[in-house]
Amino acid sequence: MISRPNHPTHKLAVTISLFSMLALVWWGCSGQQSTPAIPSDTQLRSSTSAGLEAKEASMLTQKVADGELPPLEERLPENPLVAKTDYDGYEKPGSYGGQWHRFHDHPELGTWKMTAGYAPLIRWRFDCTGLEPGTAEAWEFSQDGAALTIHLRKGIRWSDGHPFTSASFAFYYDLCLDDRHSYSPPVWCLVDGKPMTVETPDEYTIVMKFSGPNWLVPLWLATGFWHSEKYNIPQHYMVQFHPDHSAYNNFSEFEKKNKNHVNIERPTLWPWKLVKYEKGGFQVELERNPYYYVVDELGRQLPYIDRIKSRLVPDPQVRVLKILAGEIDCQFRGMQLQDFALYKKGEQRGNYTVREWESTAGAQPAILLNWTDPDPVLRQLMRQQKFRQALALGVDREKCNEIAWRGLLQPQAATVSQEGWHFADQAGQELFEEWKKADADFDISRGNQLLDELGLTQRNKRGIRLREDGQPLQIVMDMPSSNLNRQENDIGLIIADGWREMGLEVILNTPPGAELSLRRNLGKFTVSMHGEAEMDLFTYPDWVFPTLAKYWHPRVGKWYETGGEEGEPPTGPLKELLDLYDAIKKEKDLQKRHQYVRDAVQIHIDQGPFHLGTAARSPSLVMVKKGFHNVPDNGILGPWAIVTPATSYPEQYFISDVDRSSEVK
Amino acid sequence: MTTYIIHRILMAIPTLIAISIVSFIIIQLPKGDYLDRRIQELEEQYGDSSSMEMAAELRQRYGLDKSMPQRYLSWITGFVQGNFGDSFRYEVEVNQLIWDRIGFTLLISIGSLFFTYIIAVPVGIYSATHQYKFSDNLLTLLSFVGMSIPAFLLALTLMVFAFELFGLPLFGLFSSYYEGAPWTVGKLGDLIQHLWIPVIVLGLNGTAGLMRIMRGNLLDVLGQPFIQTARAKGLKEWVVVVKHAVRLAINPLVSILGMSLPTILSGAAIVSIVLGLPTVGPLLLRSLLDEDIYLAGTLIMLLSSLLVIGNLLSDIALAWVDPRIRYE
Repeated sequence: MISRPNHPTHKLAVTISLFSMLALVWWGCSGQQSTPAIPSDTQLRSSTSAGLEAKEASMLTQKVADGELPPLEERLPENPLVAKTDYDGYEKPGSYGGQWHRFHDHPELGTWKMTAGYAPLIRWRFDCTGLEPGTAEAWEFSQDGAALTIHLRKGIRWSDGHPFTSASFAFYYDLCLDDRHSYSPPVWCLVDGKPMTVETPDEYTIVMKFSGPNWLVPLWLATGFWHSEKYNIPQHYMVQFHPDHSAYNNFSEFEKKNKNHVNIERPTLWPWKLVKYEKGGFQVELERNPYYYVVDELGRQLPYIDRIKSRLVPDPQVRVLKILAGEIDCQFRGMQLQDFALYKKGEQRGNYTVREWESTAGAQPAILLNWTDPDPVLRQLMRQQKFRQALALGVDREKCNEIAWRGLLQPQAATVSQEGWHFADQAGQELFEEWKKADADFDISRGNQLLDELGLTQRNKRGIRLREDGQPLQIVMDMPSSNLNRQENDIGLIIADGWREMGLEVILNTPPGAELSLRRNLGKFTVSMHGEAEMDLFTYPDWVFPTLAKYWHPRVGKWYETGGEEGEPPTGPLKELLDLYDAIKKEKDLQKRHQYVRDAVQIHIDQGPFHLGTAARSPSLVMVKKGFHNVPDNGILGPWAIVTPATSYPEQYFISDVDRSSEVK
Repeated sequence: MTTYIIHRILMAIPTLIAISIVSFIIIQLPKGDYLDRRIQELEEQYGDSSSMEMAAELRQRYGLDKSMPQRYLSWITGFVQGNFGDSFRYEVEVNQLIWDRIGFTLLISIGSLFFTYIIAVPVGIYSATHQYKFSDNLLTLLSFVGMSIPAFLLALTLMVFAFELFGLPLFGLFSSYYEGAPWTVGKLGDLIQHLWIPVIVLGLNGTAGLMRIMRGNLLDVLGQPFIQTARAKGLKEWVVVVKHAVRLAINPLVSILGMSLPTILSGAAIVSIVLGLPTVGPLLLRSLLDEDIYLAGTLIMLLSSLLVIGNLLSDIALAWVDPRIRYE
């Protein structure tokens, strides 16, 4: 269950989740085997629901009978992963069969991977309170944190039946070290710039050795699908394209065949394997993976649903129509909030319901103030807290919410996600509330007063304040140009109105194409925009800590990213923030790490704002057709790092009325 | 006639070369390239672009590190051999993406062209022979309404009404069951069921204009002395109109045929986006936004070639209809 921060049971929930986390850590460190998850026959017989006797889908039973597949016991690991059911909206163990119709918005299948392309060693928990075992059943650090040992589940198999072993990870890391292949050692394995070494003492053990303490590694292994899809590489299949073991003299065929969303022959660990990918991803079909390693509470192999049919629908309006027409069974992402009323209106006719999940956005969008503005006068102004505060006072957040978002959001200062685990206890929530309110008032006269106090009292004939070099004080604000970003454009206009009232000249700039992000990441802007949401600041710290060439600190981030070779060294509060992040990376104790994040937030409250808030916390729409079961009532559908809804085990969603969603439509 | 056709085909070559150079340059005018776009897209969606950490290598593989003339030469030499290069976004050869879309585009365009002429010519004739009667005035009014409603608006209106009144989702060329299925009689029937909407929406716009032209021309011709002569000879009225007047009055309609092809193709792009049709239009728009240069360049080239061919065909048709036309 995702508890809302102000909910009275929140404290209890936090306590429980902390205890369960401790238990998990103890369990992980002790490397104990839990009892085998396949329940005895008596347990199975005691369940009364019809259809629950079958431990595998009938399409697989048939194949076993025909001798095409080994029996279930030989396909499942010794100790299968049991899907968690501790969320609101879980109904019951399901029946096998049916077809799930959905759409995706990009040929790379990103939204599908977020749903069922997540097979990491270590998983994020669905409630985002910490980590849980995945394909690894346990992991432990050495005393000094410089070595991590991972114990794989015995007997997991790829979708072609070949065993999944530590050889996969070793093969992946060899690719990282191979200059001919495009992978480089991942950022998380570097300590002081030195990459790790990987040892595989046996088939089920991976030992990573770092040149110093590296406590955040389990989080990195769990975060996003993009790390795990790289290290989960079917070496037994891919080796035939490897230049050292084949006639190919470079990696270009290898890299083509390694695309898990294109190559239907590449074995997978996903619950459903790709069986059709045509016309550049416009037509995609997946079918159950007969060797999938996750079971339900009764020990029945998942997934329940036989087949997935996904269509590439690039145009948002056609997605709306497909949902209204009832062609979609269940959809996460790709639905826009502006169509909310339309979706609600169509519920009856389309035979579906729309649920509101949390986007956990802290600013939609955040207004970025460039700490390293290329113009020296503006740079000097941007570094004065009073100037940034004056800009914050000129933002009418209520109006942004009412006009751009139709009042569905909440006006507040720019923050990361309130549900993030760094702020889980009461002190954390109080701090977060303070952060939301910091410099979040709309007060033009107070803003004017602050600008006067800065000595910006000279004005030209048009009433524009003059800078110290006599030029009019002109601010160029970058906005995305596409009409898909209508909200950002509305908000830009509202902010420009406020700032003009304070005697600033505001120019709204909509750079075409990639220029917006090029200007942003190279630091060639004064004010820009970017949506803000982040659940885990340990692995994605860059909204709060200037660690990457992004957001409000591109040049300082560049300095940190390149180890001081490029960009600009941090000064003042940015130096303090980077020192805190360095401390986080070396800290073993989770609570202390959380405390460092809170210290950093305190710096943002006291010495900020560094970026400005507008409106936040939009609902994220989820569409579920009647007869489609076990979809969580609520959850987080925003930042990609926590990979929702994959962490809710969508392989246990099922369709009760299989006839309805089968072939005939 | 043969020399004329050969001459026209030879003339088309420099035209197409000029089109290819200009469009190739214009596609790449905005700052950044496909990979920058993709990184921006990823950052906005995932808040992370670490999957693009090998952007430099990808740039090399896609040939984006080369200069624009080099890229153009390698693309155009491949193009004449039928190898159009790879699409960046869809990670497949352009060849695999475009042909059935070009087929559907032609189907819809030619279909609506036929629709236009089949409706416009008889209605125009009727209107001209019943000048200033109530029916003529009504048809005139309707044609002005038809001319002034943009096709995409008509498509949207149709969609809203069809959904609100009948609960019919009017989009795509296939229902979801047949989408991606192999060709069968059932699929063909499904296609025809879906096809009439875009054909009518696209055709209606042109119908009005053509009808007015047909009416005007016919009135012109009907006032000429040889028509009077024909009537004086005692020919039946319909013989006078159809055999003598219409044959002359239809010439401009045939020469317009060549010109209406570009209108219909570009109109089809917008209507396709609104109606979610699997034609060239939406693919072209996306590839331009992405700077997916080889895909966009190829589509523009193929559409231009279609127009050149269409113009040639209409000229030949004109010559066939009107023997007075000479080739120089």
